This record gives sequence, structure tokens and C-alpha cells, in this order.
Amino acid sequence: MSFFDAFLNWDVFVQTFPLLISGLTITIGLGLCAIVLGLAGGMLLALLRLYGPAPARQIAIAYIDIFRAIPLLVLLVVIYYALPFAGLRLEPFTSAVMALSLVSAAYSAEIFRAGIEGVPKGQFEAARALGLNAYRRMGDIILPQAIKLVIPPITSNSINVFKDTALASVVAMPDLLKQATQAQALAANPTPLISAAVIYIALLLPLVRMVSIFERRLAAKSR
Amino acid sequence: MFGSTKKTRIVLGALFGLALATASAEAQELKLGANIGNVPWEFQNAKGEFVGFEIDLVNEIGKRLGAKIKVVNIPFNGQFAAVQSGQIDMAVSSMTITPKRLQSVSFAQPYYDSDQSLSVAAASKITSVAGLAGKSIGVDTGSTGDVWTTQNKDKYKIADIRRYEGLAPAMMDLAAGRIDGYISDFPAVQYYVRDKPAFKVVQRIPAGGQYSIMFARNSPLAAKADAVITKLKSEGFIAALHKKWFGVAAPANSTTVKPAMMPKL
Repeated sequence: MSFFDAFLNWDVFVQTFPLLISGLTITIGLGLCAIVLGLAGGMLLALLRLYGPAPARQIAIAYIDIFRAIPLLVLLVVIYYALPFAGLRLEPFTSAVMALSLVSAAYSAEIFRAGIEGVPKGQFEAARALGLNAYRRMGDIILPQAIKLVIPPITSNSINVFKDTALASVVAMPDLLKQATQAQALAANPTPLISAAVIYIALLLPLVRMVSIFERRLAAKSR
Repeated sequence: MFGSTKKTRIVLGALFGLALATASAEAQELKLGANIGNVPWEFQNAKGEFVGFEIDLVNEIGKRLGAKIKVVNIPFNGQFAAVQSGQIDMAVSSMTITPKRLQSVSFAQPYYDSDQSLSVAAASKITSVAGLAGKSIGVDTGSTGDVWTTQNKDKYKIADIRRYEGLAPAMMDLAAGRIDGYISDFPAVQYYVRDKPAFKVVQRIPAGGQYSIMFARNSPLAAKADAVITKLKSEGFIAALHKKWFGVAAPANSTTVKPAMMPKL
């Protein structure tokens, strides 16, 4: 049996493609939910860490450190398989979104913090001199500049979150990877795994390219 | 230390020769991909040794072929790519022979006739597949149980099929109440629940599955192993393995006892 028959088998590809597409919709749903929640959580954590009252600041630092240290797969297994013993039984989708966004929030928080700290000090002083209150100083002056600064790393982080959705297949989620493994077991042929890889790349390659373009633009502007 | 005096060159030459000799001895080694944890077919005992029905069987086949068997732990879903890429020479995972799989891989003759089974939590009121209407059922991804359940989803009005990477996580979810039943190979589940009162097997489902060893398509090793299996059946070796691992004798007309044809497309 040649490499092509085993790994790039056209018949197997055609037979299993619909299954992969059904998995892809779940992967996209999972990815978008986790990215949005992770970004919102990250922003909240970054603001708490920088400007919150002392206990909140300590808690935010502890959270960010712990969730950057825990392996995502371990967290997912704990949320899915261990929490039922504590009386909390989450569905696979909820568990996966929770694990992904909890970790993503910790990483995003650090990125947003770097962005806020990267805004020139003069901007803070000018906003204060204009007599704007704390919310408007942040919302109208600082954050728009900070976010512009961190678009490349935030996009990068979002791509990582999207790729990590593949881990959800361990909690019985019929995502793209899961459907691919199912299809390859039924046909005893690894072609569906290659197809899944191609779909992931096709989906994420434009985003990866975008990060590079953003970075170049940012570098040109700051020169 | 590595100066090339005549003496060291001779010693190095001797060492090199020795290395070549060991290398050719190792060429007799066959790599077996085994889905470790798939009781009682292949699993690790308390001492960390690989044991089980299929481990015993393949070790004996290796002995008869004059080869040493090296067990590599590869989960069920990784075995298809592994045999086809030549990472392993053969794979065992109580693997069912199917016409669809035969298009991509080869199997030796079957040595076990399997049924599927429905297991539920001990407190469950479900007594057979007839009681599955509106329920969530767990299966192993891409397994024979998966195929059976998918085909019969509408017939029994099963609400949802959840796909797991093996018996242990599915059983955990059965205990957690996320699924109402688990449909999987009868012998494995029967062996698993024997000391776990939290679960019970409520129905044996005839599905006509037969297990064998998987090889890359048209691998010459498949026919060699098949011939050994015929011999082992006539010696009663495989029937004895059945007795050893299941505690009961295999049915006289099963493929565990009677030689069978090597499956062809």
C-alpha cells in the first residue's frame, strides 16, 4: 500500500468529508466562544491587576499566575471529570469553553497589561489634565491606544486558543479532531486526520498572515 | 583518550563488529502496537508488565516465528496510522475485522467472536436497548459499538451518542450521570465491571464482531502469523488463553477453537 493510498486516499476523503464539516462547525463555535470570553476576562483581570484595590489586585495576580502554570488538558479533565464529584456536572461544550477561556483570560490579561503600560505616560497626564473621570480616561484615551498596540499578540493568542479546541475531543466533544479520529477508525485509514490538518491550516493561515501584517504596520508607525 | 594507536583501533573495530552483530539480532524484533488499558486483552499489571489475552497470543506467535516481540503502547485510534506508516509491525486492540477496514489494512484470521453489550449505572431502571428512547449513550470513538449504535440510533430513538477515547472515561461519565448507558465490546466491559458494583451489564447485543491482529495492507507477516494461529488453535493454545483470561471455556464452534479463513476483501 503506497503513501497515497494510506494518507491521501481520495475515496476515503470524499466519504468522510461531511463528518469533518459537522465537526468543523463545532470547532468554530467552541473557538469563538472561548476567544470572546477569554478576551473579556483578560481585560477585566488586567484592569483589576493595575488599578484594583489591594486584595483584588492580589487575587488577579494569583489567578494569572496559576492559570498560566496549569496545563490546559489537565484543567479540562479536572473540570469535566472531577467537578461532578463536587456536585457540578457541566456539559462537554460548557466544560471546554470554560477551560479554554479561563486559561486564555490569564494570558490575555498579561498582554493587555503590557499594552496599557506601553501607552506613553504623557497620555495619562493629558487625560487627567482635561478633567476626565477615571472611566473616560481609560475608555476614551488609554484603552483605544493600548488595544491598538496589542492587536498582534492578542491575535496570536486567539489563534492558540482556536488550536487548543482540539483538546476538547477528550471530553466527548464531536469537534473537528474527534470526527477525524472517528472517521479514520471506521475506515482504518489516516486520511481524515490529514484532511483535518488541512482544514485547520486553511482556517488559521490567513489569521497568522494577518498578525505579521499588523506587526509590520505597527513597526512602520512607531518609526 | 580517543588517540588512534593501533591497539585502540583494534578494540574499536571489535566493538563495531559487536554492535553490528547485536543490530542484526535486533532485526528479528517485531513491534506490536497494543492499546494498553484495554482489559483483559492488553493492560499493565501491578508490576508494570504488559499482560493480557492478546499479549500472550502475540508473544507465542513471535516465539514460533523466532522473533522477539516489543510492545509499544498505542491507543486504538493511533494504531491505523501506525501500522500503515510502518512504525509498528502489527497491532492489537480487540480489533474487529470489517470490510471497510480491509480496504486499508490486513488482518490474520479471527480468534474471538464478540458481542456488544449495554451497561448502565447500578441504580438505573434501563434493562435493555428497548429502554433507550430519549437517552444519551456513550460509545468508543469509531469502534464496533459506535457503528452499531449509530445504525440503530433511530430504531431505539436514542437522543444523543457521546464518543469517548476508551472504556475508562466513558465509565466515569456513566458514574457522573452524563450518559445513561454505554455500548461497547461485551468481554471488555464484563471484565471491567466484575469488581465495580456501581455498574451492571444489562444486555448482551449480538453484533457479529470478530477480533484479530491488524497488519499493514498485504504485509507478508500477516500470512505468517495467520499460519501460526491455525497451528495454535489445533494445539488448543488459544482455547487455553480464553480459559485463563475469562475463567470459562470458549464455545466449541467459536473461532477461538476452530481455525478460520484469513479475511479477504
